Amino acid sequence: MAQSENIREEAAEEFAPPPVIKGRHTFSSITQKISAPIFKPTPTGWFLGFGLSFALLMLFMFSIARLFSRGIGIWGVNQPVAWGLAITNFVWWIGIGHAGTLISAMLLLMNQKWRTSINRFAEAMTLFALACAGLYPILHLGRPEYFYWLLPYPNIEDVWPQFRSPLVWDVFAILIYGVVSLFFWYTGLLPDLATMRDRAKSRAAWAIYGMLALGWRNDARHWHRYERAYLMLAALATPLVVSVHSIVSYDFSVAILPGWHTTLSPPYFVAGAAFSGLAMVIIITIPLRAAFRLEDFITKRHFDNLAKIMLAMGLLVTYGYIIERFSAWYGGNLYEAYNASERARGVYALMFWTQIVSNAIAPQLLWFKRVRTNLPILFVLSLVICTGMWFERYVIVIESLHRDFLPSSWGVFSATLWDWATLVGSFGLFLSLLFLFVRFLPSVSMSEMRKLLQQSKVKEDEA
Amino acid sequence: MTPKRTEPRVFPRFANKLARVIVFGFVFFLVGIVLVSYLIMRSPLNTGVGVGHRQPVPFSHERHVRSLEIDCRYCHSSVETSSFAGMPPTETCMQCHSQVGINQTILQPVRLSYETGQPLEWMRVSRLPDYVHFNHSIHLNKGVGCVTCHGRIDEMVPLEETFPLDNQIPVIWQAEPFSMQWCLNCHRNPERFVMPREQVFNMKWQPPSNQDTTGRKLVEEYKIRGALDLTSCSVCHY
Amino acid sequence: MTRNSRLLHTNAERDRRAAISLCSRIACVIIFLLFIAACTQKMARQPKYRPLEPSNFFRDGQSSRPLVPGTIAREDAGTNFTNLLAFKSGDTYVDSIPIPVTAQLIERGRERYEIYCAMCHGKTGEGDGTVTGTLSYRFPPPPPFSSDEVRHHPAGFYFDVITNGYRTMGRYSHQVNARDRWAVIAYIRKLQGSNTYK
Repeated sequence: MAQSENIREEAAEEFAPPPVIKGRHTFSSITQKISAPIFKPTPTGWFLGFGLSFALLMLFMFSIARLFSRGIGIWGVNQPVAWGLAITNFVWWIGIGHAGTLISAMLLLMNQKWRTSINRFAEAMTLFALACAGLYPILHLGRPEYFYWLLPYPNIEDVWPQFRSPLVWDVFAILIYGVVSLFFWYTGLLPDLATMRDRAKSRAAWAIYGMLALGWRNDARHWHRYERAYLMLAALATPLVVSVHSIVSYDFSVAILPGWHTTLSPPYFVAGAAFSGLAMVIIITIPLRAAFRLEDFITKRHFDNLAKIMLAMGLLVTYGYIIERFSAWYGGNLYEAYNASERARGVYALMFWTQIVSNAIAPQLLWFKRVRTNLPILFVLSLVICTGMWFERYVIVIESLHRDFLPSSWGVFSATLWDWATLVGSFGLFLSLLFLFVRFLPSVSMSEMRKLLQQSKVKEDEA
Repeated sequence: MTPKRTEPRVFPRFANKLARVIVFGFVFFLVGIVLVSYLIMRSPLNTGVGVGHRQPVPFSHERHVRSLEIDCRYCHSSVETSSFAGMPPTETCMQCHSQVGINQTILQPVRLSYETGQPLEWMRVSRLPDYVHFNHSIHLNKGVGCVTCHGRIDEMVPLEETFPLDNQIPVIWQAEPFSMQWCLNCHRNPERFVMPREQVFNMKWQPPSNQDTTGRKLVEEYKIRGALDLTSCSVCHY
Repeated sequence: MTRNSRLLHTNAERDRRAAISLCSRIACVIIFLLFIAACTQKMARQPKYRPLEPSNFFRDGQSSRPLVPGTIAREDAGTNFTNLLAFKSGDTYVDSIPIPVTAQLIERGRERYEIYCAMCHGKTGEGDGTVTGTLSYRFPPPPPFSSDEVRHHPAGFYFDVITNGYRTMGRYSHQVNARDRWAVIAYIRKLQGSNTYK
């Protein structure tokens, strides 16, 4: 009897989609589970991880200080490759910064309940990735102290930004995306910050969480306004997911350079951004879930769903690769065709084939459910995809620039030590912020989880 | 839901108001910063308009130009042919001051300079950044007068009318801001400022009431290029 | 009761003051940083010599170099080269202007004359310029051009006076170039003519 019941349960687990919340949970157990680690003494593992990230952050700071004092000559950039690793990293980080809003805003509007447990840190990750990305365009300026010239402001020189340039659109697109993402994230945090305030043990924690909670008292009126604002921000953020990377792609596609000048760019860039962003979400979720023992809240179903979206994005990216080659041949443009063949055979062929293998071929494994729910394999696969997407940007930025229309202006870019230090260092910034976030803020939305629990309870009762 | 607390409340009552002020005030704060910095940028603090300059000798343009009717070119003799207007060598001063004012102490630096051959160090008043190339000769030859940019130099009396004059008295100042906006003002609409060539050294010249038509005619006559050419970057930044 | 409420009031007042002072301090720092950003650019002062700038490189301490002796302006050189500085032949002054005297030249002479000569010699050449007079702070008036002693000087003499100075008059070679000096002489001759026969 007991055995057959076991078998039935196993079968149910095998075929039915795994639940969004596992185990027996109550409102207080959810709150306890998520908020308790924040009030416990800091574990050694956190110090280790944060120390390492902080060391990388210091490397970042050091290389930036050196860059500012010595100038961009310490990088490998020169004519014709004037956009080196800085812009590669910029496009890549912006791409990473897409997943958060994609998951939280788009899936919220589509009423996908499973997003609840992962949206908080996906949004945080978006913000941190944007912080990294936003730095690079400023860093790669010859005179970074004048970055504010990109903004229109009254001045006695009568100088105004060139609004016909996509580089200016870029500034606005990213600024707006950053601000909306920040508001979206913060609005979602408000009820949880109030919970933290009420559970705080020290007066200082109480004051800080209290200040951040903006006087949230769980009032019905508060909830009413909160729900409206949250939905409105989601509606605002959703088109931004598409617009930001489209505009980043204009930086390239509006130029007439072979390899850049293509109408394919916007959808191709957006799909690539979501692809790498989802991969990054998986990379962060897996260790976070283990460290905070969130197996009940982040179930196999979450990974399954994430992997499915990632596969869909991967297929779009693969389609982009195919069309890129096809239009190079079908368009009959000599330079375009040369550029396409140079990608596969030239100086940067290794980067190109890494990109193809890790972005087009490796994701095909995600067709198998066993891969989608096997966390170690999924983790490694996501790492491969993230790296592959970085190489894709490397190929787009650097390979296209290194071969111009005139052979006299050809050249080869090779990154210097400081180029790599600025890339590796940016992980320090990203991870340091992430470590601080998981230490001091609830990384899963408690209020939304409670709501989700209530809804699933209602369903159970109805059944 | 909220657990009851026995501790005193952390925030005083005015925190509510403060939070609102901070949230809404931030927008005004940003706008305010931009506005204040713009106002400072265009104020004499930055442009130097009307800020008096001292000189080694309290030279009065009012005395030399208005009372004695000496032409600008008597001292600034390269102004018609070169980018630089030219500063007079001590010899030029001594053309008159070998006979006039030989007992005056304020002229002691001039005499000393003439004897030793060590030039007088005049303080620069109208300074442009080095990435701007301004040429006096082209402006004069196309009908832009001294007074348009330098103002009524002939009315610049030493600011403090104390006698005896000494070299601590500010004697000259900038009349216009010399900002790019100010330059463009004329480069975009030269017909508003251009004057007949015979008038360029006339300090009293003012645009006539029919400047609209005369200016346009002069622009055509002197072949002054259109705003699109005159506002091209490389007209001044080369 | 009243005492307590007043205490509370002053505490709140103190808190408010503290908050306001903190906010204003932060605002000051931000504004200060903005000013730093708005400072003059590096390219505004480039390592180059502006006109008349001092220089440590040359012995006389000046960056502008004097002309090499015998330098001739480009417009005065060429195929019909005339030596404009030849105001004497042997020991006697030449009595002719070495360039063709046209209406244009005389007009140019008038312009130069009114810039460089008129304040002493007067606009009509009568020696009644704006700076002259018999008082101690006036320049001693020069003799009128129409007087017999001046009129009978040859053209070369005038050139010599303008170039090298004469009595209380200093030299004008650095203010009036050779061609313009001849133009001025042509104009003086015209003044003398009209003044003689008036």
